[in-house]
Amino acid sequence: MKDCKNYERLFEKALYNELTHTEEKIFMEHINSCSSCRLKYQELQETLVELKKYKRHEPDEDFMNSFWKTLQPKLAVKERAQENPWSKLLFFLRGEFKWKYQLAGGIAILVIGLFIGKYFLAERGEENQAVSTDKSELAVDEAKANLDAAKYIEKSKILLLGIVNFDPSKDDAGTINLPHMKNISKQLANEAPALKSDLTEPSQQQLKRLISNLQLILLQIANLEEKNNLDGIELIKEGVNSQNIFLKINIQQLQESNKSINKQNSKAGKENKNI
Amino acid sequence: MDKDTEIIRRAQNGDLNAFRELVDEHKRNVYYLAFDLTRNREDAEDVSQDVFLKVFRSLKDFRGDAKFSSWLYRITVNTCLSLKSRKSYTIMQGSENLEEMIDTGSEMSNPGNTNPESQTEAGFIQKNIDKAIEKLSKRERTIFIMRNYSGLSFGEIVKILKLRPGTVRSVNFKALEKLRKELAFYKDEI
Repeated sequence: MKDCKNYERLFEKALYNELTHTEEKIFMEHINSCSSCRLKYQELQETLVELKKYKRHEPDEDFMNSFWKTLQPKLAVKERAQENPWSKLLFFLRGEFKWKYQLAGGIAILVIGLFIGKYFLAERGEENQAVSTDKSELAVDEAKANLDAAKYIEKSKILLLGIVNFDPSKDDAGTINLPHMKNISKQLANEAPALKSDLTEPSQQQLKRLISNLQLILLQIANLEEKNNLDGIELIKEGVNSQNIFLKINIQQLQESNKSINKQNSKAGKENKNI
Repeated sequence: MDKDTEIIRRAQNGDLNAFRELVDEHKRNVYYLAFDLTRNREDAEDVSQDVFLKVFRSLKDFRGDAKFSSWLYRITVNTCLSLKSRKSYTIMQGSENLEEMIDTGSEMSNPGNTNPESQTEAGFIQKNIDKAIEKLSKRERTIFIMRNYSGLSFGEIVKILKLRPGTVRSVNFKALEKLRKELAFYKDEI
C-alpha cells in the first residue's frame, strides 16, 4: 500500500500522456502487477471520459451579440485617456480611483502651491507694495471679483465631481440627486454673467474664460431631462474631460493660492520694515 | 505560428476592426472561464468586458512570447481575482496552502439547472458533473477547469497562477479523484 502511494504521483501524468519513457515503463510494470491501482487508474480514465461530456455554461446570447456594442464606447474612453497625458490623469482621477484620489491630488497641488508661493514668489509680494493709493480701490474691486469667481469655481467643481464620479454601470441611479444638481447648476449658470462682467482686467481674462466654460456645462446639466438622462450625463462627462475642466480649475486655484501667499508675504515684509 | 498573430499585429497598429476580430474570436472562451471561476452570470459578464478593456490597453505590450490565449486567460484569472477581492472574498490569493482555501458557499449559483435537458440522460449527466464540479474547492475547480476545459497546459497554468508545478499537478489530481468519487455516487443512483 505504501508502495502504491509512491506510484500515485505518476497517475496524473499517465492520464494526460505526459510520462517520460522511463516513467511509463515503471508505471506500467506496477499497474500490471497491482490490481488495486489498475482499477483505480481505469476509473480515473473513465471519469475523464465522462467529464468530457460536460458542456460549459453558455452565456446569454443577447450579451454575446451586443458584446462589441457594449465594449466599443468604453474603448473610446480608454483610447482618449491613453492619447493625452492630461486626459490620462483625468481619466485616472475620474474613473478608477474617484474622489479620494482627487481630494489627495487637490491637497498635493495646494501644498506645492504654498511651497512655491512661500519660497519662490516672495519677491513678487514685495512688488505689490508699490501699488499706488489711487489704484487701491480698483485693486479691491479686482480682489473681490477674484474671490467671488474662486467661490463660484469651487462650487462648480464640487458639482462636476458629483457628475463625473457617477458611473451608471456600477452606481445605483439613486446615488445621484439629479433634480438637486440641476437646480444648483441653474443657479450657478445664472450667476455667471454678473461675475464675468466684473472680470475686466487683462489678468482676469483666463478666469473669465474658465467661468464661461463652466457656465456652458452647468447649463447642460440644468437642461438634462429627468428621465433617460444617462446619455446626457455621459455627454457632460465627455465635455468635462475633453475640455480639461478640472485641470483648468486646479491651475486657477493654484494661481489664486499663490496670489494670496504673495499678499501675506508682502504684508509681513511691510510689518518687518516698520519694526 | 499563433493563428492570431497577424490579427494581433494589425490590432497593435491601431486597427479597431482587427481588435474586434480578436474579441469575437475569444469572447466566448473568456466568458466560459470567467463563469467557471466566478460561478455567477453577472460577474462573468462584467469580467469578460473588463478583460477586453485591459487587453485593449495593454495589447502593445504583448510580445508574443506566450500564446495570445494564455495571455488572455491570465488577464481573465487576474480580473476574477480582483473582482473577488473587491467583494471581500477570495479565490486563492497566491497561497500555497490548500487549507486556506475557502469552501464553495451559497454564492455558487447554478443557472444551468433550469435547463429542460435535465430530464434527458445527457441532461442528467450534465447536472451531476455540474454538482460534482461545484463541490470542488475554488482552487481545485480553477486549476481543473483551466487544465481540462480551457485547454491550458500545466506549464501555462503554473505561469498564470504563479504556483509550483507540483502544486498544480497535485491539486488537479485531487480534483479528479474527488470527481471520480462524486460521479461514482451518481452512477449508483441511476
